[in-house]
Amino acid sequence: MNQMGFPLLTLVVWLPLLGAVLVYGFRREQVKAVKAWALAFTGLTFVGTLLLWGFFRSGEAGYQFVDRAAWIPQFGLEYALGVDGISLFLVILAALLFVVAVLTSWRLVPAEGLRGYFALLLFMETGVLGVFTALDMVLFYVFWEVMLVPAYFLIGRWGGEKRVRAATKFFIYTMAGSALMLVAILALGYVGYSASGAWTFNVAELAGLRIPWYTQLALFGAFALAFAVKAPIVPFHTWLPDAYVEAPTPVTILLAGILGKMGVYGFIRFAIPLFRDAAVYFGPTIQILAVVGVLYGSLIALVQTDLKRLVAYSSLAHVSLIVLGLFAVNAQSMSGAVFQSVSHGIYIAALFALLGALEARKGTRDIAAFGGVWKAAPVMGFFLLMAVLASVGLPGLNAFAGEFVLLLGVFRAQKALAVLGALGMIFGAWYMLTLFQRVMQGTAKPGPLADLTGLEKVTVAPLLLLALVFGVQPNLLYRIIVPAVEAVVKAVASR
Amino acid sequence: MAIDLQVLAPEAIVLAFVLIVLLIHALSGKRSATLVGGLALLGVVLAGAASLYYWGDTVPTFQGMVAADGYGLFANLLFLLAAGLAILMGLEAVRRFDLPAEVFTLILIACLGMMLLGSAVNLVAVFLALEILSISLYVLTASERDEWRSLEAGMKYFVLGGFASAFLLFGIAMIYGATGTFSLAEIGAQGAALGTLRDAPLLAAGLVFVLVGFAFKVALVPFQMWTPDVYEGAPSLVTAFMSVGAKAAGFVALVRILETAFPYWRMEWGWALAVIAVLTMSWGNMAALGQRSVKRLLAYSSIAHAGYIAIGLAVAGRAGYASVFFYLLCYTLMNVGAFAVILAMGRKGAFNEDMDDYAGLIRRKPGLALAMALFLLALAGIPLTAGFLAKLYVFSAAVVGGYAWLAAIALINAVISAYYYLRVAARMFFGEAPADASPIHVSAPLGVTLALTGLATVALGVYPAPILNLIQAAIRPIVGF
Repeated sequence: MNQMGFPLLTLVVWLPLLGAVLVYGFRREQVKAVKAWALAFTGLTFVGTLLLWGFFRSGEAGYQFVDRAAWIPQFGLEYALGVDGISLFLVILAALLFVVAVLTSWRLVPAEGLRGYFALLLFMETGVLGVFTALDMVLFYVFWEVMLVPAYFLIGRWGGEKRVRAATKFFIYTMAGSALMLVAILALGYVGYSASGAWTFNVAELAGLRIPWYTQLALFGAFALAFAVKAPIVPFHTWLPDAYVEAPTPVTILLAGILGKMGVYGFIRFAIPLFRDAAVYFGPTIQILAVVGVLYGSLIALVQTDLKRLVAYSSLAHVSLIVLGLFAVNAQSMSGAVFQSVSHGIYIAALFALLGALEARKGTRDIAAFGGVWKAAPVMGFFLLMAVLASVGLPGLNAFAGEFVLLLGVFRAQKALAVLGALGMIFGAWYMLTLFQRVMQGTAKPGPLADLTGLEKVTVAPLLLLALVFGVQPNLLYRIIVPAVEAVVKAVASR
Repeated sequence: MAIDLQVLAPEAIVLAFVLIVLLIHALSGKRSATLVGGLALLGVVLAGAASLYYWGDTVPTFQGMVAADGYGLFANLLFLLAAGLAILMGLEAVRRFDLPAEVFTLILIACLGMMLLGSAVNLVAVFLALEILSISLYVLTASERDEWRSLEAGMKYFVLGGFASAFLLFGIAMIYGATGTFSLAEIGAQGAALGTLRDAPLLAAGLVFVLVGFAFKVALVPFQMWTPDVYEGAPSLVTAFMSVGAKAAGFVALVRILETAFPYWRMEWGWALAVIAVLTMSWGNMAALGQRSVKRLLAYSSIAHAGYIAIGLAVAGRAGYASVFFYLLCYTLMNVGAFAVILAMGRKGAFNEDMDDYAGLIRRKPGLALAMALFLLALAGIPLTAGFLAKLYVFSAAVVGGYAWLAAIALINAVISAYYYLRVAARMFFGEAPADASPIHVSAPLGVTLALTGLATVALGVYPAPILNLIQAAIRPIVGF
């Protein structure tokens, strides 16, 4: 049993699914009630995750709030959930972004099919929270795969012009990436069975396993492929621009803010600590791919004329930087990577929410169609400025606190890679500030442009506030993240 | 070696109901489809109850022709489930497509053949049971008498099926020539003394021919050519019934034959089946990619699934066979469900099987679209459905049995299959309904079929533990404790 004597984590994970089922208790016409219902359930879930933070025993490395029960004893499968310093903030971020997603959906989604929309969104929340909390690897895979279904239908039904193509590409790429992971999970279970004589897929129990070298290479490869597609890492990123751009704004927020982090999380939770030798062996290769991703994403972002596409490529660059930090495998770089995963989720959500607001007003995402927006909409201008500054890593905002620590860690081990990674930050400042300048300043384009509505302000402002708080007080997160990361680093060092 | 009717009670009940149904049908005239179907359903339920009642006894009977062991009894439940669901669908199909009420009788007879096949421990009994099954299926396939494609399918199935039976019979003859016995156990005892494949060419050739015969019946590449045409041409309820029932019967019999009579060559037939499995799933999935007709697409997907099941057979052993059983059960539920949707879409004169007929189904008939989406996702092997755990079981058996590469190929195949299942889902959810679309009617029997299969598909995908226990117990008479 866990520290609360109450299955809080289970409740948090399944609450959204309950909401998804019960939303059909409303009639089709009760549009307002359906929206309020979705907000209530995502909000309650968020409160639940905050409780997790409140009761979390910081300074401890192991899993907390663990809920365990036999699931399919014949296969040794367990229902096992838990969080540690690595996953805690990703869980909170996920719950927060789903609230944001519901709020950004408020005006965006037509009344027809509204219940289905929110049911899928809530269903997806359960999947995402499950991914970040599952301790049984097959259970992890279940959440990982099942989450694709609502994402597919959300993009395919409510997305942009080429939505069906984008949705299919997203689904098939991710499924193809993770197909081999299932075999690898089963093989890992078998290795554990051969060693101990009992079937288990519990990651805590498999963590200390000694795995033969070539088996490690194969299994690491299978896991890494799945996570590399999800994160994504170049050259497995080709689904990203399509999906991010075609998805409806709330789903883009989730894709960029939290779904990509599932790949990062997979590396640090499974691929690195389970296959320590292989992770060290493949580390530099993945880091080089990550650096390529940083530079490639940045350069492509520089020449984009489409608002969403620009930020999509910037997201590729930022997530690549996180992966660069992960595979330096020291406490600094990895803590920075986890911190930056959370902080990227915060400002990318704000960015996409604001771009969505811009797109909704002009009916286009073409940057050339905008200009001088600040004059017409000063609040939006200010918010976008904050989000852009957060994203370029201005000291005092959250990305700085993450990327600085991350790059410092990388620099200790690999100076050249750190310099190249830092170059990405410079490019980032270039394209993001250019974006801001072209949209907000200069001569105003014809046509009225309303400022942010109250709801939009309420949606984005907390994100920007968080960016500031975490930028000034990064230790709020670091003191919980670092012990968990140090345990991983220690395990790798003592392989 | 007594003749003990009691242990064959489930089969006897089905046979009795075949006669009752025939009689009632003859007496009550043409307008009795519902009565006849209801009686047939009652027979299936009673036979299922009898199977459960006799659970656990292992008694060979009829001079060692059939054995009523846990294995056969579980297989009975599987076949009765398929038959019961087919009869439920039939209650609607008979009215909607003007099928003769004899389909109920024929389904019962085919089911009887399957049950005997599952219990047969003697090659003569195997052959007889298979013929009872096959001949009823030929007739069932052609039962839509005013529809040319149904007649053509029946003819095709009959000719090629006869061909397959001939192979099987020839193989049995060779095995008899090599060992002087039809009894599986005795073949196993004598064959073990004969040595390697090379030392016993006649027995080896017999095994190959028997394998070929069964490969025809369960549609394994390269003996699958008849499948798409027959599955597309046959009335949907018949396609549903034979794609799950006949497949299950074939695999159940193969497991018993291979494990009882040829355990000493497990390595050899294991590898042969592994190669066949790869070919079968790859061919089925590739061919399904380009299909426009949903029914034909499911026919190809059914070939692919036979490939996945063959993996469990190739792996052999307790886990391998148990995974075959579990997969068959899950496949029965999700595939019958999908065919029930196809049946619901069609009406006399317009089958509405093209993908475009499914466009915008979510707006026209939301429940039907959701059910179809569930079955398609299950067939694709998405978690929280039975299809995922079925694949998981087969693949974990493969990994443990040293066939990890086979599991990897199968998973890549699963991704390919997801693409075409998604194509149908995309039509239903993202497409615009055709303007001239006629209303879709889902009657009570169809609704019950959909609800049963849908709920079971989810239930088995979430909490399969009790069923797995049952299956592992059922495998014991074959592989020992």
